Amino acid sequence: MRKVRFISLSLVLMIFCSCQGLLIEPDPENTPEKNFEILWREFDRYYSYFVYKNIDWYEIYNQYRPLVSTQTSDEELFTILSSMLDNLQDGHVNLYTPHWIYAYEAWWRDYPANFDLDIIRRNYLTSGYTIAGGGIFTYGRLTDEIGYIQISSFVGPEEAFLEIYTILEEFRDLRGLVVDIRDNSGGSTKNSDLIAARFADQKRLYAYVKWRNGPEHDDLTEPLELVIEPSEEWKYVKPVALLTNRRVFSAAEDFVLVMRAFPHVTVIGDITGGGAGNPILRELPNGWVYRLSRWQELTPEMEMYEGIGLVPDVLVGILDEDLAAGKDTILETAITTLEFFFN
Amino acid sequence: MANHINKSRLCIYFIILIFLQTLHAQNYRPKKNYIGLHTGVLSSSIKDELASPLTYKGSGVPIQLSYRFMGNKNRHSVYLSYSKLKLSPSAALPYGQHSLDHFQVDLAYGYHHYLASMFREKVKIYLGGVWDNHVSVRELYYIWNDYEISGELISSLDISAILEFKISKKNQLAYQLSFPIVAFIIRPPYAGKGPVIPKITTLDRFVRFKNSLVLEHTLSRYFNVRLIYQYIYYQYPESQRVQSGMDHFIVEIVFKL
Repeated sequence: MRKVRFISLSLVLMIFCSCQGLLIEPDPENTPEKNFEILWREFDRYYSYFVYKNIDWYEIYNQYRPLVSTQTSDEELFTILSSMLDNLQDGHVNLYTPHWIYAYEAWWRDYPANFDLDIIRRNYLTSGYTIAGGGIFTYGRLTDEIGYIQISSFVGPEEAFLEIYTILEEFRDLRGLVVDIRDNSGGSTKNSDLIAARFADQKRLYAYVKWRNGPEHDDLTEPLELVIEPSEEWKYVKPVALLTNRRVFSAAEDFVLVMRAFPHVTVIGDITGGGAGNPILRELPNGWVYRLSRWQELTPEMEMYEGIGLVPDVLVGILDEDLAAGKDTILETAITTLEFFFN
Repeated sequence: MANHINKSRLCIYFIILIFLQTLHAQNYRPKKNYIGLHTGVLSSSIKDELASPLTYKGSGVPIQLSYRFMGNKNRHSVYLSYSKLKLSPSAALPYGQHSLDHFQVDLAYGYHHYLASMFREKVKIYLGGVWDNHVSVRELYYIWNDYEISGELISSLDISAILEFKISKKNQLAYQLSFPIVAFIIRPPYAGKGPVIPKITTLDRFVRFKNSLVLEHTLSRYFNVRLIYQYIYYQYPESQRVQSGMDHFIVEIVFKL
């Protein structure tokens, strides 16, 4: 009996010995140098655009590594890492710390805005507008024949984006639609595909992707097809004008690629931001979180648009004086284009 | 109506007769079919370099069902277990929200054959194999409630040995060790993004061993209780190394048929 009690107690006590961590390699040290090394190495291993952007990542290591030592403070380390990442000129590359955030913004900051939702609400949606999906959608009628749907983002739960079903029901009998994604910087492609599927006349190839899949910078998969399937619900296949500007980025650019594959959609506005990276989040030993691009995305014509953007069918911008006067030239061009299609 | 009631009564009498017969039969035959319900404490450490340089640790409560056929020469066993744990990084991080939700499902079938006995049959050795299937899905939360996914599916054929030591009439201690000979592994790319390439691998690439120490006590003709300590470790190097270590302390109630 004593033997049994002894064995029982031993079994119970074994759970406290934390054997589960015994064979696992210790974590890397949380030092400025180690955090630098890991960040550089993970980009070296996963980032997909070194060759395309003609970036010598090893030279960049030689340039920045000497700046980091055990004495480097958090703020100094952030500045060094941000400066290093800025060489990539990639809107999908970010560094998040408790106090500072690095983001590359030149893809939109240096370009005209070409959008003001207040002007549209005040001067174009004169018979009223509705906000839906927790602010994701603003919609109303521009004319008796043309509806307007603004999609501000593709970030959010799927339930919010299902509101498109209600909106399209209201516009079902209209002869044309303006879908405005200006200033939409992306989010989830699941959400953008959910909406695009309601406009799909048939299954369409809209892009190719190549994943980074090996240690060398040019280790990429063969081009893999991205296709859109039509929704099981009814589809809106009457004339659609899709409005874009430089802040259209990432999943929103995916949306442009999908929509322009449909023959009844015309893209109008400014060139998009050029963000085709499908980034992933990762962490450093000090808890800082970073993002990097994992794939290359190409148009159906096998053209890269990272850092370049997608050129609309009708290239038009808004002059500063027009914006000041409350005139949205891009929207007016869309209305004119749709009315042309009606006739 | 009377006909229907008579038929129902006949069914009930028949069922009672079978049950009584079964009970009667069980008086003379040792129980061979064991059904077990387990719970306990599971402590897990996981380091998935495909996802993070940090080790994530935590504990939780696993649930497990088992069936064992305890023949004189042959043993069959089937196990199904599920656990969901919330793990935290081992390092103290400035953000509070780094965490990992770890879902695991295991389904295993084992067969062991009596090999030898020692010390006047107080110690028995069984040798056999286990077909083990393990699914691990990890959701890593870094920031803004946004998460990335990592994980693996492992199906392996393991060689396994059991050592049983009869302490007394009602108590038995057993030790089981198993490790894989060949494994089929699917380890999707990090964040589930990219092509999935399944691999068949052997011990030189996929390392795993499972140790179990079991104390079994007979409560009655129909019930046993088992106290189990189990340690499982595995590591796999592709596309980047994952290491997983788990301690289980399990209490199992066994129903004998």
